[in-house]
Parts: sequence; structure tokens; C-alpha cells
Amino acid sequence: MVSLVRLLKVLSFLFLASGLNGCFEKLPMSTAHVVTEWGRQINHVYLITTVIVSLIFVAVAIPFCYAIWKFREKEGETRMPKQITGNHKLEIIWTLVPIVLLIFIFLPTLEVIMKRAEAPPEDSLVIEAIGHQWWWEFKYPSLGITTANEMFVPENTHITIKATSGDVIHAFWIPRWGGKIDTLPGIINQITYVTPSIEDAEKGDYYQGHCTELCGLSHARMRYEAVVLTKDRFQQWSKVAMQPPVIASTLEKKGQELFMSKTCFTCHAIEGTQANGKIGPNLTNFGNRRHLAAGTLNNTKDGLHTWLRDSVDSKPDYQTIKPGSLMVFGPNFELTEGDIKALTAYLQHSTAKTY
Amino acid sequence: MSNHGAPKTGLWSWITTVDHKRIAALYGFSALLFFVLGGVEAIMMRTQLIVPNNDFITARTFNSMVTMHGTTMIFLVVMPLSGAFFNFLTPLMIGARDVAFPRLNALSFWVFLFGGLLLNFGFVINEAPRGGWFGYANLTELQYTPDLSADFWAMGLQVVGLASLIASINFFVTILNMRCKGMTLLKMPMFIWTTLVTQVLLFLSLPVITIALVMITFDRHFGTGFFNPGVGGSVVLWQHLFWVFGHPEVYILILPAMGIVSEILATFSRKPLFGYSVMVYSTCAIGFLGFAVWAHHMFTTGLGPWATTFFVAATMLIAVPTGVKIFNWISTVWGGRIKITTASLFGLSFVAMFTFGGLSGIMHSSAPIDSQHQDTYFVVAHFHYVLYGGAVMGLFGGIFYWFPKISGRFLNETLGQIQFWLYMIGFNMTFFPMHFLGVQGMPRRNYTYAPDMGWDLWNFICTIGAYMTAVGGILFAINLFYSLKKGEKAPADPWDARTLEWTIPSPPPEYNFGIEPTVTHLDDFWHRKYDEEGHKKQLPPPAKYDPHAIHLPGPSYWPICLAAGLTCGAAGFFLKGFGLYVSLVGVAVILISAYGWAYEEA
Ligand code: HEC
Ligand SMILES: [Cu+2]
Repeated sequence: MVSLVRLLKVLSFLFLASGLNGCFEKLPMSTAHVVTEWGRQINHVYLITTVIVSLIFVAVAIPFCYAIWKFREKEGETRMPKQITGNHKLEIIWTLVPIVLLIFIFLPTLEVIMKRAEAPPEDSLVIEAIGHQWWWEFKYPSLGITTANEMFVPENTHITIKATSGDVIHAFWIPRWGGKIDTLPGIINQITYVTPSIEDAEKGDYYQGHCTELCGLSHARMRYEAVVLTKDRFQQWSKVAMQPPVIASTLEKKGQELFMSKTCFTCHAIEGTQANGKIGPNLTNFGNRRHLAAGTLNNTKDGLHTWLRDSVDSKPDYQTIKPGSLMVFGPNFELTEGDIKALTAYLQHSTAKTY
Repeated sequence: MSNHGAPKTGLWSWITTVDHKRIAALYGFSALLFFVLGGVEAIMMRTQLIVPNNDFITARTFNSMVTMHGTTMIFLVVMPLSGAFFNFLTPLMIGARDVAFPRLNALSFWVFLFGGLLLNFGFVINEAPRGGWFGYANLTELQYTPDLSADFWAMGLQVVGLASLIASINFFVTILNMRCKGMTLLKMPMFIWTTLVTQVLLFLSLPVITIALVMITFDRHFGTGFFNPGVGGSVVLWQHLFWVFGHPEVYILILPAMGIVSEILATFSRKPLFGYSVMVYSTCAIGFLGFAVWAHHMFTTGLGPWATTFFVAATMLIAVPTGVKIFNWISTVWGGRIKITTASLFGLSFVAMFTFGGLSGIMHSSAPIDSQHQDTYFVVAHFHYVLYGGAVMGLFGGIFYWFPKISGRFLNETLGQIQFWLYMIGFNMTFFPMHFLGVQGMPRRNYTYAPDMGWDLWNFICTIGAYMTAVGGILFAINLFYSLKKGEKAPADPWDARTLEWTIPSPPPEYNFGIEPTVTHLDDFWHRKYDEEGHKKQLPPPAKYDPHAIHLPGPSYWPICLAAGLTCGAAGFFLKGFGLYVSLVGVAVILISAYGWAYEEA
């Protein structure tokens, strides 16, 4: 019995230790590993609060466990406990002490709330983030750029996200950048960040984002990435971002023709072509994306093949890749393997840009 | 007329019963059946999430599980199980022979049952609700949920809500008007106080959800557009309406369990509840403040700094009366002689788990912290600690404590204690790691997750814990059926308890009290048994009375008819084509039943 208790103790200790360790691992969506000022402000309050509530927990747990142990009924015990009905002095103390402790949580909270409410600086880069079932659209009104699922930003810069929705409620959240904001249809919510400094100037830093409001079937597949670039490279990117595709081979040419004949153009827009659809993501930049369909697949030949095959072959609501996806085709729609090859060449090659 | 000639057994006797004790049994049994359903839904979700990119169930099924697990556990398990205790205990604890309106009581049970079936009917035609238990508009609008799933949800809840509304008025009147001689408000048992405050919360908050559900139904069927931003409606309006109801609702779920635990801890420590009057005031304070914190569910909708600050402050404030309760429970135990039984184990663990959940609640009362935790597993962990580790554990304690009174037999202690430990370990194994998952950014309500996020291990552990709890649940079912038939026979006062229900035989006679009691103290029964020094007193011999002279209300089949009419009327709303006729039949049944009811001899 005693050894069992000891074993339990050791196990629970290991459990806790690895849990805490896990919290501080640099995971893609860890809220413990923030990189922005907003994130750090939150974690400051979070730390204070954690310490205070942990203290309270210990202050409650110790006397409680002690009482249960000490005053448990022993074999054959007949002692009659004293019938104590209360003690006003004690009760006043444990009403007041929590109030004081709560003030220590409340004040830093208030400070952060008020700081957050300050207006962003005039030159803050405005990005409109629009949630759609189940992908993200990003518009840069000052740069005339529209893109999807990957939000490019320059390092160490004020950016203001104007978040809204094209259909149902979603939420904009990049955990390592700090707290989320809902994207509500008919309402524009604003959140300002100072973007983090760059770690990998070569590739750019990718930060994982995720929709966090239940928005229908593929809510779990509604991810995106914020991509931090050096200021120069961002400049560069913003220049090429809206350039039309460059056709380099007959296969790509065929792909473009298919795109303009196989209904793709009705839902997708590609700059410099007659494709002007608004239902799906803008594909002008598609060749530069790491993922497709909002973080569902890798943007590789295989990935795009899987995506197109499943979209054409499976019936809505029960797609295997992205259930409910709004990329749907008529009942007699056909896409041959050759078509897919050509479309892939066109979409992944002609639209890829160097910056 | 007295109903001593009426049948006492058989299906018909249950269908027509107006006896609060039998209605309590009906409530309890139905709630436990729904508990099985809600549990299976939970297990399916946990199985889906045991490994990343799993395809055990489809996204559509998963979303239905998320929605119906929450809806079921809240509206069809914890509320009616609390309702079973209100029903059984309220008259017994206040020394009355029944509730104020016995037939209304039967009506509320049948409305609840039929509403619950309506809510779940979507499963039969593969259109189970899948818009979340909070049914956020505009996802639940026709445009985004074109099938009937959202109608089943809205109409089912509407009917279930009506049941609670009817019951709340009944208990409110019962408690205020039918207490026995000498039982002033401040001599009522703690459980009666929490029941009273719960009823007030119910009848003040339910109308809000009723209106909201009417609005969404109108949006869906008559194109009104309250929540449709395309025509000037507002999606935030739904959230306000929902949470103005939804937050008091969480106190509706927890207060009855707090009352139960207060009784259990006092009895098994052989001490009066510490600081009774302060407990009463803090219950009232919690009830009052419970109406001023709803927007803490909406911190991320962009409320603006001042509104946010107000709701932060109010939310933190509500921790104070809650904390007082916790300290008073500990002081109740302190210096007592605690008998360890399944009931007291559940009661004690309630305090521990509830405290833990309360503390993580304080963490996201701070809006900035909440913006990192909201809609992640951290919040899932938090509210399961208060509602599962808290409310459900408390209710289990109540079942083990009062089962001897209800049935005249004990539940098996060995099975009970094994169940308790499976629950405690399984529960903590499932929900403790969810704090880590939350901090690691795992969002809720996702039917799957990617393997490269570092969430695999914790999810695996969570799921194993859930399986353990399920084994505990099965043990309880076995225990229940075994003990009903073969359990050890229980005397009138098996726990040496303190309140009036223990003065009468187990199970109580139909009329409860042969002679209506008179009380002089809080915990009156204790004072009859023991003098001030704690020495046993000689109980006076029971007085003689004639059971046949006691008038009791007769059985009635009108309540079940009326409930059927109501449900029929609601169901007509989403049947295409002949729906109107179904509703009209429902209305006719309602009218006939109401007429029959009004002219029936009581
Ligand atoms: C009915 C409208 C519609 C049609 C037609 C359509 N798409 Fe799509 N497409 C969408 C939507 C909506 C999405 C976003 C899916 C998601 O992520 O949930 C999408 C996503 C994509 C993506 C991934 C984009 C990204 O940024 O991740 C590609 C590539 C794509 N479609 C290619 C095509 C091609 C090629 C065709 C023609 C064969 C086509 N689409 C036809 C609506 C459409
Ligand atoms: Cu979303």
C-alpha cells in the first residue's frame, strides 16, 4: 500500500514535470512562446495570475487534506465533534483576503486592456483579414494586394489587422503573436501588432494561425500562416505579388486554358487573366504558398493532385480532404490526369515569383 | 377524495403519477439515460482525437457530437438530475406532503422528457444539431445550416426550457409557502436555499433564451433577419442574448450541487454547516452577480475597453462569495469526525475539483489572458473541472447519500468506492492535461489536428482517462440495478443525519409525514437526537395517526397529454408540407388537455 502511494507520487511528479516542460517547448502554437509585445504583456499578467492562484490553491489544499486526514473517523471512534456553527472573524478574513489578491490581478489586467485600446500609429500597415468558410483572405489596401492563407508582413513594423468575415463568425489567432480577435460578419474588429524581428532572413519566419470559432464542417482545417520577412524583401514581395503569371511552357499554356474553361475562373481570380472569381482564394500568388487549402495539404504536385481529385470526385459534405469545402463542381464535371498535370504546372509554376 | 384506491404499481401508475417522489425517480432515471447518451458522445470524440488525423468519425458526426454532448449534459443530465433532487427533497426537507402544484410537476417532467427526445430526434434522420451547444448565429441561419439540424436544436431547447420554467415556478412557490411550522427562511436546510436561488435564476434567465430561440426560428422560417448582417441584423446580438441566459445557467448547474455537498459534508462530519448564514448570503450574491458577468464569454468580440473592464471586475468579484463557500466547507470538515463513504468521498472531491476549476476560471476572468485561452482546451479543462469534477461529482454524492431514503436500500459501497476512484483518476487524467494542450494552443471543437503541433501525447492520455471514467460509469449502472433489487435494507436514518427527511421511514410513505412536523432549530432532527453536549437524547415514541384521513391529490393523465400536445405543436415547425397540420393537432391536444385538467377533481 505504502509503495503504491509512493509510486503514484513519483508518477504524478513526472507527469507534472513533463507537462510543465511541454508548456515551454517551442511548439508552433504555444502561447508560452510569444514573440510580440502584445503577447508579452499578456504573459506578464498570466504569470502574476498563475502565481496568485497557485498560492491560493496551496493555501486551500493543505488545510483541506490535513483536515480530511486528521479528522477522519477511525475504527470504533465515538468522539462527538464540537458543534461549531461559524466564526464571523474568520469569515470576514476570508472574504477580504481574496479581494486584496484579486486587486493584484485586476490592476495589471486593466493596464493591458487600456494599452490595447490605444489607437495605432498613423503609418501602421493596414491588412484586411477576411475569414471565409474555410480559408483566409488577406488584402493590403495601401499596396493593392490580395492574397490568401499566407499573410506576408515586414519585420519590426506596426501592422493593423482589420478583421471581418465574408460569411459566418471566425476568429483570427496567431498564438505566438498574442490574443485573438473574432472576425464577425458585418463588423470590423481591429488589432495592432508590432511584428517580431526576423530569425531566418533567408526563408522568412512562419507563424501558425488558426480559426478558433466553430464555423462549420472544416473548422479544424482553417489554418493560415503569418510570414515575416525583412523590410527589403517585403518591399520586393509587394512589388511582385500582383504580377500576372508568366507562361514558360506549352504545358503551362494548356493549364491556363483549362483554368479558363473548366469553371475554375468563376471562383478564383488570377491577376492579368480573365479569371476574376471571388468565391475562392485569389491564386495570383499561389506558386509561392507552402500549403494549400488553408494548411490542409502541402503545396506540392502530390498535394495539388490530391486536392483536385478529391474536390472533383467526392460529394460535398463528405469530401475526405476538406469536408464541406465550397470548391464544388457540377455532376458531369470531369478532370483527367492530364488536365491535372497541366493545371498543376500552371498554378505552381507560372504563378511562382522570386522576391 | 383520497386516492388510496388508485393503482400503486405498473406502467399506468407511473404515467399518471403526481407524487413528487415518483416524479423525482422519473427525472433521475431519464437523466441517467441521457447521461449514457452524452457519455457515449464524449467517448466518440475522445476516440477520434486519440491520434492526429484520425478518421474514426467524420467531421459532420464530430460536430454533432460536440453540439449534442454539451447540450445533453447541460439540459438533459445535470439540470434534470438536479431536478430529481429538487423534487424528492424539497417537500421532505421543508416538512410538506407534496409540492404546491403536483400536476404541474408531472407536466414539467413530461415536457422535459419529450423535449429531450425532440432534441435528439435529429440523430434518427441523420440531421443531428451541429452548430455548437451555444448555437451561434449566423452559422445556425438557414443559409449556413440548410437542413433541419438547427431546428431540432432550437425547438428541442425551447420545449426543454419550458419544462424548467414550469418547474421553477412550482418549487419557488412550494418553498415560500409550504414550509412546516417553525421553519423560517433562515432555518431552511442549505440545499433548500440553493434550490430557491436556482429557481429564481431559472425564471429570470430562461425567458431570454426563449426569446432568442424564437428569433432564430423566425429568421429561419419567416426570413426576419435578426441575426443576419446582410439585412442589418447582428450576430453579436445572439451572443448577448445567449449568454445573458448562458451565464446564470452555469450557476443553475452548480448551485444545486453546492447545496447537496453542504448537506453531505455536515452529515458525514457530524457538525453543522460552518457559517450557515454567510453561506446563504453568498449563494444569493452568486445568484445576483451571475447576471452581471455574461460578456466574459465575449471578450474577443471587441466589446471596447470599458465594457471589458466592467465584466472583468464583475467576474473577479464573483470569485469572492465562491471562495467564502469553499473556506466554509473546509471549516465544516475541520474538527469533525468524517465518516468515509462513497457519498462523502464524492462530496469532498467536489470541493477539491471545484476549487481547482474556480481558480483556472479566475485566470481567464482577465480579458487579455482570456484572449489567449478562449476556444482552446484550457477553457475545456476549466469548465469540466467545475461542471464535471464539480456539479456531476456533487450529484453522484447526492445519489449515494439519498439513495437509501429514495429506495429503502443502500447502494453497494465497494462498487461505489471503486467507481469513485475510477472517476477521480480518469477525470483528472482526461482534463488536467487539457490545461497543457490549451497553453500549447490547441483549439476546441476541431474534429482533428495535425501531427506536427506537439499535441499527440496529451491527447492520447486524455482519451485513456475518458475510457477509465466510462468503466466507472458502467460500474455505477451495475450498482444501481443490483442495489435496487438486492441492496442492503436501509433504516430511516442510516447516516445519523440532521434534516427532516430522515425522520420518516425509508422509503417514505406516499403522504411523507403522518403528522406535519414542527421545527424549532436549523438542523432540527439533530437537535431532537442530541442535547447541547452531544449526548444522545431519548426520542419520543412516534405519535399515532390515521393514514386514511390524509388527503392526497389523485393521479392524472392530463399532464402527459398536454406535454405531448406541446411537443407536437413544436415539432410541426420543421416538418415540410404538413407541418402546419401537425402543429394544429398539437394545439388542439393542448386545448383539450387544459380543459380536462381544469375540470378534473384534484
Ligand atoms: C465553386 C467555386 C470553385 C470552383 C469552380 C473552383 N474552386 Fe478552387 N477553391 C474554391 C474555394 C472555396 C477554395 C478554398 C477551399 C478551402 O480552403 O476551404 C478553393 C481552393 C482552391 C485552391 C487552394 C488555394 C489555396 O490558396 O490554398 C486551389 C489551388 C484551387 N482551388 C484550384 C482550383 C482549380 C484548378 C479549379 C478548376 C478545376 C477550381 N479551383 C475551381 C472554390 C472553387
Ligand atoms: Cu472559421
